[in-house]
Amino acid sequence: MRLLLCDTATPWTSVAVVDGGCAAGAAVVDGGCAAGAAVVDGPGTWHRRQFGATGHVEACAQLIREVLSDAAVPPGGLDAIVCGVGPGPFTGLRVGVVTAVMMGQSLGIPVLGLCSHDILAAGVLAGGHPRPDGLPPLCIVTDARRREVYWAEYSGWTRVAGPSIAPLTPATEITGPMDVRHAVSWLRHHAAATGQEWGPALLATWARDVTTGRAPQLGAPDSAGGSVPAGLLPPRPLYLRRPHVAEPGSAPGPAPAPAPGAAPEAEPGAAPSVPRHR
Amino acid sequence: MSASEPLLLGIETSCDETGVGIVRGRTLLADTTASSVPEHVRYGGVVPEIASRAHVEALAPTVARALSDAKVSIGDLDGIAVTAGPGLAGCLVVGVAAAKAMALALGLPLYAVNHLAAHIAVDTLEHGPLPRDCLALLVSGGHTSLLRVGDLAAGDYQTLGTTLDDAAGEAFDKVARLLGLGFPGGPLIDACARTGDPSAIRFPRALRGAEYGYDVSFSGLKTAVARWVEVAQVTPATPLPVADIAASFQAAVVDVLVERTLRATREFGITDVILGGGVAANSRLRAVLTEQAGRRGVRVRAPRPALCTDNGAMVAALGSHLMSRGVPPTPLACGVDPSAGMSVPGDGRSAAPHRWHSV
Ligand SMILES: [Zn+2]
Repeated sequence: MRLLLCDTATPWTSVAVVDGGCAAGAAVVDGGCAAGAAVVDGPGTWHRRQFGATGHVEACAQLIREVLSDAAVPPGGLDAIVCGVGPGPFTGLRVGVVTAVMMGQSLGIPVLGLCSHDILAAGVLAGGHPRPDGLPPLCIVTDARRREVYWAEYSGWTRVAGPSIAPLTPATEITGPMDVRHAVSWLRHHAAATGQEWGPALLATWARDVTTGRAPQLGAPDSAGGSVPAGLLPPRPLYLRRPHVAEPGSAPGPAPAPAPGAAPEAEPGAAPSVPRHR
Repeated sequence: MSASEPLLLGIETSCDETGVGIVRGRTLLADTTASSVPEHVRYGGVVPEIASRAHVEALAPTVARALSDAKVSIGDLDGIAVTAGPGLAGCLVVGVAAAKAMALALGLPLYAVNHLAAHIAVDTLEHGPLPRDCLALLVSGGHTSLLRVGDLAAGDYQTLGTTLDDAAGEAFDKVARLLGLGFPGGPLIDACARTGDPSAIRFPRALRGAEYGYDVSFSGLKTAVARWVEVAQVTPATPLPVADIAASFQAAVVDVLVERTLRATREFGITDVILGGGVAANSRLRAVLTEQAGRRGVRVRAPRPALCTDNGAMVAALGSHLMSRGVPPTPLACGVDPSAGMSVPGDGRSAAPHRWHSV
């Protein structure tokens, strides 16, 4: 069983090939939570990623070609494709989903979706160290732009709330700008327990490590096999937001200021419409 | 495959039409379109985010339908072409990602092409190879461009003039809304104008004359129509002469476009004009241009209306032309170029760091 995984729901374009020899890989299709394989090193796993808030369309296919070459798997040797379906900023998110769907159609193989926050959570949870007792639940938070965040909460390997969207407030403990904005209440706990200084630097390092595959050594699956943090989803973007438009004649709503450090993106804002392509 | 007759699939998602076309050489095998126009009607214009979402949903089924229409299997394809610009950034990204995925999965060359060049190339499907030196008048809701075309495969085409504000089709949309006709405005105004008098109202023709070059401007015209309607409504004794307004407005737009085009044929000694874009389906534009050009010995060719609007066949046609001519494929790491054709080639503003067929 050879799987291709890709996710473009954050500023990272991240892709992986998981070979059937790796139990974790097989578990994805079994409904297991081993999507974490996309971000965790291991035998039978190859991954590549590239950072760039607006660079997904340039990076995605190229990275997939490279990771397939790393794994010595031709496209025709794949058995299934798994893609992160967000939530995430729309333009980038669509790249991964469309790439997966169209590769799947071309190759005649199944394409499955996973909540991108589950992938990030699995990356954290698969750290492999005994989990300290008494940790509050894990919350994965990513940048939704326009002063909002996407979040999902996990208890062990189970997603117990979200994915959802919320205003960016001090309570979400996001200090930016950062590559991928995660706020993890138990990381704070961990910082206190280990005597590290809690702050943006630690959070930024941790966030980058999660997405680059150097998962933080903070917790472990509740059991070796791990129950499912979430089910597989159809390969369609989780937008969680309606297209932001105003009908002619109605006053457009107030346009939220961009979050600090947020990359400009061609999301619609409050503009009612534009002429057909100029 | 035969080297001169490649089987190309073309993807077009620059605006609100998800188009997939398949050609073999210059033979059209399939032209399949899914449109999100109905979803935009209530907004009176295209909403980029709605269009982008619709492309994601429509692409795979539209590709499947095109393959079935063309009676070919996906494994028979020789290359994938896609519009990389100009267009709405979020929409272009969807099509380019899809095309790359197909090219990668199937091991095929990718051709990221210019939307305007594709509007020109599509005419070769019906009327054969392009004349060596010709003009192209491309008018739609998104672009109003007069181009001089040498050799498409060599990227030898340049913009002589473009709109300084509204695209022609955009002006149609806005005036149609003003007159309560609906959206999209082009076909509705065209139909309404048939019963009106094009000389009833003398609307302005902006920038007319050689000293303005070949650029056009329609925002003043649109304002003039709005003001005329406003004044007419002050004395509501008689009903608004909607047909006369539509006909007079349409006559003004057509006059401007025909004047620019024929002046360019004279200046450059060109005897062939290719008409394209959604507004090329306008009956008055076709009739007046063909008639006036004919009197000066200038030939006008235009694809049938279905191939004038945005479609996948035009992208496939250009891809096929490039492939047949041995043009190198586009690297898989290419980007999109939403303002292609608006910038000078090589000025560093292009977002696409690769060889592609910029105007
Ligand atoms: Zn067009």
